[in-house]
Amino acid sequence: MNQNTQTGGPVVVHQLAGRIDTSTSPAVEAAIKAKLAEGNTRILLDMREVTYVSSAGLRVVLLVAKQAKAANGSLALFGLQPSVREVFDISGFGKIIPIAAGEAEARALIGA
Amino acid sequence: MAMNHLTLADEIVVLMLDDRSGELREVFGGVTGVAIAGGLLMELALLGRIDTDLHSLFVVDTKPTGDDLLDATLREIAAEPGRNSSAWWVSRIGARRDELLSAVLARLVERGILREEQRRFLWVFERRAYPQVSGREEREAKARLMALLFSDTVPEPRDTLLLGLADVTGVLDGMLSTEERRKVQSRIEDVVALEEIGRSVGRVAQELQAALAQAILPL
Repeated sequence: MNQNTQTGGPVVVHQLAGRIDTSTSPAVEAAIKAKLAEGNTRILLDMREVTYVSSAGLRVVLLVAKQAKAANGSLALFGLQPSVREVFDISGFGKIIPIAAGEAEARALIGA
Repeated sequence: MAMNHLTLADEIVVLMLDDRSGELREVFGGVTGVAIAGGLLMELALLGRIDTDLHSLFVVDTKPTGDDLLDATLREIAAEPGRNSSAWWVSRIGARRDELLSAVLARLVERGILREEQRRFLWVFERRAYPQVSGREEREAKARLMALLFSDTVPEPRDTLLLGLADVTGVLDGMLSTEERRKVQSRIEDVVALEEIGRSVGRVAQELQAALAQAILPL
């Protein structure tokens, strides 16, 4: 699991790579919480390099989306690989959290 | 030994008890077992001991939680060769409804949340009832569920899971009027779908009810 953040304008793009599961989700939560604490409340998760998401991974995405909303911000995802997209679709995450095919669409979804 | 807070298995049993009589209100026994099993599995998931995906449920950390019922469940999963789906585990553990329910009720009595009473029925038959001591735990759980249902907030994982259990056990139907239920039906479906174990609990409970209906309906 690798993470990298790019801050440009009002939006933070947080790149994730590898697996998001029980062992890696605490690091994802910590990284995004740190961004929120710095005042970056509009966050895009770049999922293009994410190969697997377990239920613990889904839970952490939900948790950070909730934290972003509580900070009057928003969080969206983009670039999900088909197998990862299937996990999000079956869980109906798209009804709770904006999910886009690409970065430009994701920016539009959170009004950036 | 028990945890400081109520586990999801404890909470669903408290919610299923009738406020006045202290007796369990069940859709039918099989669903109660499935709901308690789901609560135990969900609690282990929230404690980072197990994880799930679309295909299987698996142990990620065998460290005991300090809760007898959860640790027995964790040991059972860890001892099973090969991986099985969460629905398989919900069915397997839920089949022990009587044992699970007795264990949960006993610990709720031990912690002073319920008291046990022996009552006579038709002057002959004895049955047990479990009135709540203060009712605080039930009120708090119901308040969390109502807040979740009548808002569009991103749900907490624990509340998401509890909502799924409350739905399959009929607890929600006792909390909501027909009109309220109609208004929040799509919210219930959206929230319950978020958790894989919650979806499995719903699926297994439906299968049990369908099998029961087939068994009792005239051919």
